[in-house]
Amino acid sequence: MTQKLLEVKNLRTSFFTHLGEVKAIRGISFHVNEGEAIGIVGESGSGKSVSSLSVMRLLQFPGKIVGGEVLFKGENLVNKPKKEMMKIRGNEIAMIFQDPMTSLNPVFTVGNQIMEVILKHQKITKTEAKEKAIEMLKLVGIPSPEKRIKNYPHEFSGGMRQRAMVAIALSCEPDLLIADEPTTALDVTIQAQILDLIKGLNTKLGTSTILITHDLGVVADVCSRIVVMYGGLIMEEGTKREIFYEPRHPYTMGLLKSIPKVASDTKTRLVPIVGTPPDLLKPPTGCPFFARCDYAMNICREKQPPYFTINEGHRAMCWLLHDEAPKNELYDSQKGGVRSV
Amino acid sequence: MGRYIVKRVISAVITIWFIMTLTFILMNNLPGDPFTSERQQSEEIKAAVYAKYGLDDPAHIRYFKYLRNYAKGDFGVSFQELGMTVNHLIKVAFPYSMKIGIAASILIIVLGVILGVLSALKQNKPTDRIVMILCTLGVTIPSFVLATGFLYFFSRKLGWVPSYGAGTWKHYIGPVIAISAFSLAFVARLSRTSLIEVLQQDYIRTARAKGLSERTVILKHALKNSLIPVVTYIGPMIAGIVTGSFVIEKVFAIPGMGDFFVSSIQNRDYTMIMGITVFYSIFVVIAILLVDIIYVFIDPRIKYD
Repeated sequence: MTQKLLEVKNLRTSFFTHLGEVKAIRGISFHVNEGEAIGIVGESGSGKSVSSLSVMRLLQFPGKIVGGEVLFKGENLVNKPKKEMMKIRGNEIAMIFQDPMTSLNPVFTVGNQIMEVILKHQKITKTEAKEKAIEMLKLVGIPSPEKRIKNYPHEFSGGMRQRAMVAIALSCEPDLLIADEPTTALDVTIQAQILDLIKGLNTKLGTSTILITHDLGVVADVCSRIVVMYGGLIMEEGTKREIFYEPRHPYTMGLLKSIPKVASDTKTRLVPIVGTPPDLLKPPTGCPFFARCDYAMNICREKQPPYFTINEGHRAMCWLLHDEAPKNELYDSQKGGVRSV
Repeated sequence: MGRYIVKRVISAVITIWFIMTLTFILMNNLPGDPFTSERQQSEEIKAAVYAKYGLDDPAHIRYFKYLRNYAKGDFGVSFQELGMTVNHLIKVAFPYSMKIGIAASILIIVLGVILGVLSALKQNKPTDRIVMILCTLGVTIPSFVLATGFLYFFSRKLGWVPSYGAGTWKHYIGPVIAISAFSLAFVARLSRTSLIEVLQQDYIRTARAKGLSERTVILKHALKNSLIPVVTYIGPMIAGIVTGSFVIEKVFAIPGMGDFFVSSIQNRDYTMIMGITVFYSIFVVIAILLVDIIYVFIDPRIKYD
């Protein structure tokens, strides 16, 4: 039986703006097992980044966790004192951010920024920390790290900066690595290298990983389980196989249809999901995807669907999975497009 | 770095030469000359005086004579202060101005940054509001009004400080405050805005995600970045303090350079005008050069050569 390293239970996060309360996360639950890599997928504004910041308790004013629990190694992080959170951040849970061009402090050397986190969490001398920093840079594949450690971030390329970020994140051997869109700002070649790096560390060091992205191709490569978010809620959750080959939620299907396929020989058009995400200042009472869903029914507008369990570990929030829903029509029309992924 | 400094010194010499030439042209085109204010003199005496001071030569000859003497460090003899060389007058007067300038610069940088950081951290709270109101006042009230107001309340009404002269440290309080007010308010505002912006940067989030204390995040990661625009302002600020001091020294009757400079212009004291202008040019050019060098240490992205 695998142990749950992180368990998020009914987490709710809001931003209290002058226009009112923006409910960015409206009750999400998911977990990460030890040594497991999961992916959180969703478009902009779906709440995926906010959920990772909530786990780290790094929300900036006016953001606030309004309910739920974040259990890390069985301890609730939501009401942990600041001092204890500081010991967890960077040490037990580490994070990599989206834009490597701005995530490193421009006025300190890369070495200084790696050593800083090591010195903060480990009782070692400066010389030892320096050696460790060099070792970390070597681990993430930066050539001649002894020289590179004295460089400033602007002397690094985008891909190297993200490697340096990975080095910072992993230098204290965290139990959980949260990578928030780690490859979005990088070009495809570098993207693949960084993903290989994260994947390699996950398999070699057994670091549990949460990979947040809008790119299904990225999660397919790294993660074993996928959580699909939309409108501050989890729409569907399942193994990689289940999400890619047996998606049950129209939103997941829509996401899959909007990725280009290399193998397709006919000139098929990509199918976008028409419309925009809901305004979370006034979240819809029913399903958040209602307005953009091709299969929406009356009940979808009125009542938020519950989770329907398809089989253990695979669940989706959609009324179409209800016994009384007209499921044949939907799946017949979907089969062709989705299963060819 | 060495090459850069050499380059800067050469360009400084050119700047100073340009200032000298411009001042010379302007000065010679002003109506009147150093001796027009004297009582009626006979033509012979006038001619003799002109010949004595070399004023009967054509302008271009006098111009090259100036350049030659300045290259030797000889600023000439004052036309008004009898028997005094300009070098001597500067030597006597400058220490007063420098004391005010240094005290004001320290006050501006230290207090300005502290106030700015304080109000950035307490953004939109009462502390911030009070500091920002004071800053608006500091920027808008002219320094001579501030100086007069200071004299009225603290010298005349309360009698805490002497009203004129430069004998003790108490004499300097008023001048320093009056000169600092504008730049102090400006630096406070600048560092507030800059720090607020820096605190929203991604690398601050990274620093927090590393588990660093809020203290380290602000004092190490945020402050150094937010000081970059402040350092940019310091160069021109020093120039501002130097020129601002002319008025303030007059109000507080401090025997500094400002007083000499103003009276030398009124008296068309050619050598004196040139001497003080060149002296201040050198001073400001050096100050700006120093600021540019400090810049490299604060922001590694800036490269010279």
